[in-house]
Amino acid sequence: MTAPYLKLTEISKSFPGVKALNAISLEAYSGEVLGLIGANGAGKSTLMNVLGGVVRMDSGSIEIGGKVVDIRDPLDASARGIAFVHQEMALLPTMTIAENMYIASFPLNKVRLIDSGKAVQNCKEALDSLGFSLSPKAKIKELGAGDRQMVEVARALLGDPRILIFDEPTSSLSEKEKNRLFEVIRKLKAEGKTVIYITHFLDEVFTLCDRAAVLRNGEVAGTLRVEDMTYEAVVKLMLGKSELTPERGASGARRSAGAAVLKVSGLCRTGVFKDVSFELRSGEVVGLWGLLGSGRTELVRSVAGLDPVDGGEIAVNSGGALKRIRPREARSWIGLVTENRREDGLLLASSVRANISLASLPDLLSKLWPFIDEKREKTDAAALVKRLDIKISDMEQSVGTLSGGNQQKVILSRWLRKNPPVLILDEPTRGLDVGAKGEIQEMIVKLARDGAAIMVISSEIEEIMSVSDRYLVIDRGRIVAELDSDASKERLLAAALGAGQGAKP
Amino acid sequence: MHQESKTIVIQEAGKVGKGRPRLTAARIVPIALFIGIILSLGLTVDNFFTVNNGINILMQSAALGFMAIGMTAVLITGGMDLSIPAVMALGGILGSMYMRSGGDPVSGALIMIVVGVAAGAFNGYAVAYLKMIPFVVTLSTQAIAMGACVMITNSQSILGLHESFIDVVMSKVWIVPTPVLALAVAAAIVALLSKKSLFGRWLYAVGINAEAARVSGIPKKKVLMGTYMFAGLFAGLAAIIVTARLMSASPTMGQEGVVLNVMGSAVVGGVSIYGGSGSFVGAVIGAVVITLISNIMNMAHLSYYATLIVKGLVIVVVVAIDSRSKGK
Amino acid sequence: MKHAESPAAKAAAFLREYGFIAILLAVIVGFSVSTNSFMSMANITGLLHSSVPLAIWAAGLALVVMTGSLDISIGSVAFFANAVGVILMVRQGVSPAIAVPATIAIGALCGLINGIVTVYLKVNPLITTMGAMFIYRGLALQLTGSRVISVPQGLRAFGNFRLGPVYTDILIGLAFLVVMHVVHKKTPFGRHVMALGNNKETADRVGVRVKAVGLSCFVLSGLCAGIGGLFSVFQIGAVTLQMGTGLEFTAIAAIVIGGISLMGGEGSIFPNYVLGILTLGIIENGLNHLGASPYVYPFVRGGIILVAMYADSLKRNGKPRVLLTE
Repeated sequence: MTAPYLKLTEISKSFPGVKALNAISLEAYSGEVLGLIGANGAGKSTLMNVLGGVVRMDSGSIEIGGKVVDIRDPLDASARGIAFVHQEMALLPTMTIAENMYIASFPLNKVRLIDSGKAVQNCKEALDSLGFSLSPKAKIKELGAGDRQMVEVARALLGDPRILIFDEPTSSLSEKEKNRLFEVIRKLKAEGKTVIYITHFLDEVFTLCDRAAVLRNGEVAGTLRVEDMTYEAVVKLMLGKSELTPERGASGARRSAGAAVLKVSGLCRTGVFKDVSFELRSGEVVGLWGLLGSGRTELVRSVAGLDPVDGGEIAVNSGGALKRIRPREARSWIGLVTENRREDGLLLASSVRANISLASLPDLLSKLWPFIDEKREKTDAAALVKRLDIKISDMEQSVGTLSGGNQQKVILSRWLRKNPPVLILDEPTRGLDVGAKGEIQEMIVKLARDGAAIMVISSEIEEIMSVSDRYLVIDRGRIVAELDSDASKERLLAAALGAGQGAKP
Repeated sequence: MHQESKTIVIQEAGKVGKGRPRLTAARIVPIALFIGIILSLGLTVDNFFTVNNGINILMQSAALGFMAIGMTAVLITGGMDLSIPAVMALGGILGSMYMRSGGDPVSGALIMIVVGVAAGAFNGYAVAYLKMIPFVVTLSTQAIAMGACVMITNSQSILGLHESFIDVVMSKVWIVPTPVLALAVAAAIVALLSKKSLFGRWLYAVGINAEAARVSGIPKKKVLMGTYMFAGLFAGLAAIIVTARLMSASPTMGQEGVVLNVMGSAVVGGVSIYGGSGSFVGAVIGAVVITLISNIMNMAHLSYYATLIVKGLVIVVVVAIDSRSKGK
Repeated sequence: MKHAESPAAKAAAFLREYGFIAILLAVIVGFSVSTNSFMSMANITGLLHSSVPLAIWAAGLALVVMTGSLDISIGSVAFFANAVGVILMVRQGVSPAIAVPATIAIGALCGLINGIVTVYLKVNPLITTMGAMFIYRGLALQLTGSRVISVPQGLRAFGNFRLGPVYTDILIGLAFLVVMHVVHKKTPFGRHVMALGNNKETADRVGVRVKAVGLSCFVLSGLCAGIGGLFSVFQIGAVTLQMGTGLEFTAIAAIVIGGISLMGGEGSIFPNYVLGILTLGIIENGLNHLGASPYVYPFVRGGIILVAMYADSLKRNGKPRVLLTE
């Protein structure tokens, strides 16, 4: 093979407290698609931000076409022929395709007005060259996700870049739209462009890429030719050698589960998840294991009655028997600790006391008059603060001033105060330090031991393994596997990476 | 004079230290500043600090205070009700027409309240269930209510209210006019309910973080609906006072300047237009401050127009401070 | 699933997009049938003549609304700017050649102040311009000593000058709106206005200078208010005390009736804005021909505002949701 078109050598980047990239070296050739795989936090996005000029590397060098280049800002990046297609699309829905493509640099005529004829013509040519027959005058809001993605691709191609970086472009695409995108990417490859394709899904790597680099903890764990790739090989690289033996964490021996308290059957939401069925029993922790974008958060929001569903049934244990409820009623049976505690979890400006009692105010009404029994509110909250060892100076302290771990404990207290039969925790330890993480994990296990039915979502495989009694694996909106507590790390990872669905061709 | 305003700042600031996060500098500064301005202006104007003038000012503030209480509830949810004065005028007109045609005063007053609550229910339904923007909904309601006022009165005043209606509403308890007393009682009750009742707690929770409230099982839509109805109720109560005080009802009761006064009362009283914070007692004090501004400028022989300028500036400046402190 | 839509759903979708045209046609047909003076040439030119000031007045506001913001001070801005202009001419003897541009400049300056407070100090636009509405009105009343001030005779004639059967200000107004239309449709600035209305963050990401565009729209809004006010003053022959009172709400009504969403990012000068202005004008004119009491107008206008606002909210709620949020 000829010399690589893009060559990264020993690139390092540190953020306060984290070594995000540690001497990464990568090569990408003209006319190839290089897959980039890695767990969350492996360094994929930092690496791409370095290439895009969004962050500056601490050390290392970037060579493009044999010349060392310095990328200081996004303009530099595009001047060097690097273009991005992001997962999160930057399109303006009420405007036309042509307008979206040229919004930053409209072709102007002699009197400095927009030359719409030329814009439409250029846009048409750009779309045609992608094998794409959309009218440039169509508005973005009238397009489906796949067509929008194509507009993004067309816009990225405007400056005639040599290197194209796709960042999880398929997360909201249908199978058909995905295949069409792949065809476009193959076409770009045939034209000699260098394509870097970031994804969570191994089956996409198998169908599309020539080689794949696996990142782990800011390092290149290995580069594989696609012919040599198997799920096992990739999983091994992602996990690292030292971590191969499965280990059980705090949960220890499998607990004996009680009666079913929640039964979900055939739950669907168009375009989000499909035909989801599972049971939760009292006394057990079920890990809902899936990658970002697998639909796991959307699923639990719907199960908890926060988002609508299009079909399926939810039944809860009411007085010993499973009773079917309307999905909207689920809110009074299921507690959900959302993944963004600052956004939709806490009343940041309010006191610890008010945050703990938030979900159970009706239970706190005094029997004498229609007022909240503040004395009871306070003592109950104080008891929970003590039980969960929440570090505060005063019950009236505003929650916004607490550390992340204590904030998370306040939310947990809120649900313990209400004590719903089912508790779902979405990323309960995100952004917490190691100590707080451990505490929360222990608490989850203890709650289950005391009889609660708990479902946990986590991006960290170690965490989900340390708390769960069994696993549901979700991949692109479907439950693809149910695994027992003795499932190995490799098995879990492979299932979530798509070994359950599209198999290797 | 300067010292006076300073001590107020210090006293207020003392409360902040005791772990009461709700009293922020953004709230104290405007109130303290205005009390300072008013004291200093008051000292330069003759006859300002007389009992009569004081009662007079409170009397003038009464109806505004009721409307400010309603507006405050809506602002706490993060919404806005521009229709309060127009609805107040419509209620006043319909109730007065009923009384003019020989109806009894109790029913007349009830009509005013029912009109207010009905308009509030409409606003609340549109905001909570049709998911329309509060500004848009209440602007429409305002336009329709004002249109209805003009249409049914031909822009004339409705005179000939029942005398007992005027007598009862304008009666005095010792030297305190009934509307002033009513406002004080209403403010106290609402303040108590807002802190202690289930609805009050839900109201603030929805205003601080509607999504967190929803996740915690709070019926957000019902809370919103109830809040707009509450605002309508207080517009109706204000209508009773205004019609009795003017001994008539007319569309001018609901003119645009009143919206400025109502918004101004709430904002000066420390209610954030971004939702989630503000006290009802504060809004009532705000109503008195706004009335004072007019009153003082009037006594100082400054033109009516100067008060418009001052009120406009006051609102923008106070909200600008609030915006800065919230980082919006 | 487009094919799965029922005819009723299709009809609803059509009405949502083009409801304002349907309303306008219904109104025109209704008035033409029920009165015989409505469709006369004299009435039509008269109607256009009386619509010109508002059409110019609120054109800048239309752009502000398209960015997703709001300016309810335009009535007061026009009053203030024109009060200054007329006082310059009448009391100071300044030539109209200077006073007229000065009026427009003062309008633009008022808009600039609104824009700075809103865009740079980040005060909620409704509050800023509500405060501004009273401030400028107070200033204008102070300045005029709350007296009606007549404009010099020569200028008054200009306001009602005709070329044959057509008032000149109709032609000027039309030209003005065409210019605004071209600015909106054919300049990068105009397209950036729409980008802001879609989503300010996205606009920023694709390289739009969000603050500069937002500020410019406020300046333009004040500028249009100044010019529109001039036309009104020339037609009436004086700066009155009520000048511009309640105009901001009428203007917003016209904008919404024309199908320009208050959420921003949608609409045009031609046809949306112009049709909205005409619809309001036609309704009042038609009610007049029906012999309705003028006291009915505000109520009818209120009803139309409500319907238009509801239609607008339907349009928004009908948009597809972004499903995958992670």
